[in-house]
Amino acid sequence: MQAYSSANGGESVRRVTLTTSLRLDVALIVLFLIFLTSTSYFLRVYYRVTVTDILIVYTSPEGTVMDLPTPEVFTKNGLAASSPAELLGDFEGKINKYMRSSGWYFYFLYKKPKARIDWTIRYSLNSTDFDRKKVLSFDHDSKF
Amino acid sequence: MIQNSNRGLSAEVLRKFLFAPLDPYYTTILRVILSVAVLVVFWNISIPLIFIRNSPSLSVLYTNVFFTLPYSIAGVIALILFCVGVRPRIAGLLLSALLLPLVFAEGYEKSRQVITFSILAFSLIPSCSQYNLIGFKDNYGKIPAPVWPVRLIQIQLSLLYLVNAAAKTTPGYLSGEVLQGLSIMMPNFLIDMSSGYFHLGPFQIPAHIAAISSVLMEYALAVGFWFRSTRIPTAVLGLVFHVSLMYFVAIGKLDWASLFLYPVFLLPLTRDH
Repeated sequence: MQAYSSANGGESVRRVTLTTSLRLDVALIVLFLIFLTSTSYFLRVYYRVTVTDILIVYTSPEGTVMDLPTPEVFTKNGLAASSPAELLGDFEGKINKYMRSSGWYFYFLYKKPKARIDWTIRYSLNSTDFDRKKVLSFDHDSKF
Repeated sequence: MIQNSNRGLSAEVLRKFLFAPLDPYYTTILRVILSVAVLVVFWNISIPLIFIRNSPSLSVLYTNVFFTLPYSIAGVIALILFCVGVRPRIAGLLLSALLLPLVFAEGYEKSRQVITFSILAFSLIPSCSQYNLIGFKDNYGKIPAPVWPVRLIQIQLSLLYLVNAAAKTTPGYLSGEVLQGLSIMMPNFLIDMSSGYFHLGPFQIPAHIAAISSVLMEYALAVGFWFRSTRIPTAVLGLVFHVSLMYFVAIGKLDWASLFLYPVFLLPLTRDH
């Protein structure tokens, strides 16, 4: 650490450095600034949203179609501020888990070859247009 | 001639901006504030981020090292030493090294990123503080430290607002649709803007007005602290902004992390403050 003075309009301004030279200090500052700028990208919050709407349709072996209620866990999601790919990836895992744990598979699909449950996820990025769609279908052969 | 003189003057201004000596008294106050910020932001964390959970070796490391009682105790000891000013440079560097893995814990990781960098930058300030909380005075007490580590913290705070404002300066956000969508989808949004309006008491503010206002406020907060005449109004604006946000969105600790950094602009850390 060094201290030195310089004249500035008649007034003596005292300056100090952290290292042994001004250049080394400047190099350190530049390095830190590069680090700061490159990592500031990760500090963005709530600047985008993936809005989803889920429809669940059960088709019985006889061909009768019935809507199933959307479980509450899919109406709100903390990952909605992420990209559609991240949110849908999370939904896929949760839907598989729900099919297994809720009893829907055993009640609606087990040993019923022609029965089917379709999860239709309508979604859009940064709007409520729901202009994209993904369908996950389950039948008695589905593996979770 | 005039050009040379101007260049010399701006170089002198830049040198003063980066290398003016810090006031040890206010530096000590800032150190205590940063210590409290660490406590608030790092309180109660126990689950690593998903990319760590998906990696067996990293997961084991977090379970057996970073999320253990001895590790927490080491962190608390480093924090206490840093706070009271016993070798604050070594304690600060040790503390930032201990905090770094904890940045990658689930929830509020952005606030932990901000505070960990602040501690790292602050710990560059040599152990020359003339003040500490237990009357300890070391041999270097007579030579003050340069202000540039604190400038890094100031720049970080401005960048925090700037990147957020810039990321939101999109047609989708400014039209209010992103805010509407977030209020529908996010569990931590405490308001419902699905009607396209933000209900504030008896008033109904269109979503796009709310969106544009919040972006303008973030730009103002990114810039306003750098001018002496707008510093206090900016701090008041920031306080109002974050406190009101807490009623509408449970952002969590990023509000607190930002507010904890306001003193880096408000305290007279150098004589030319």
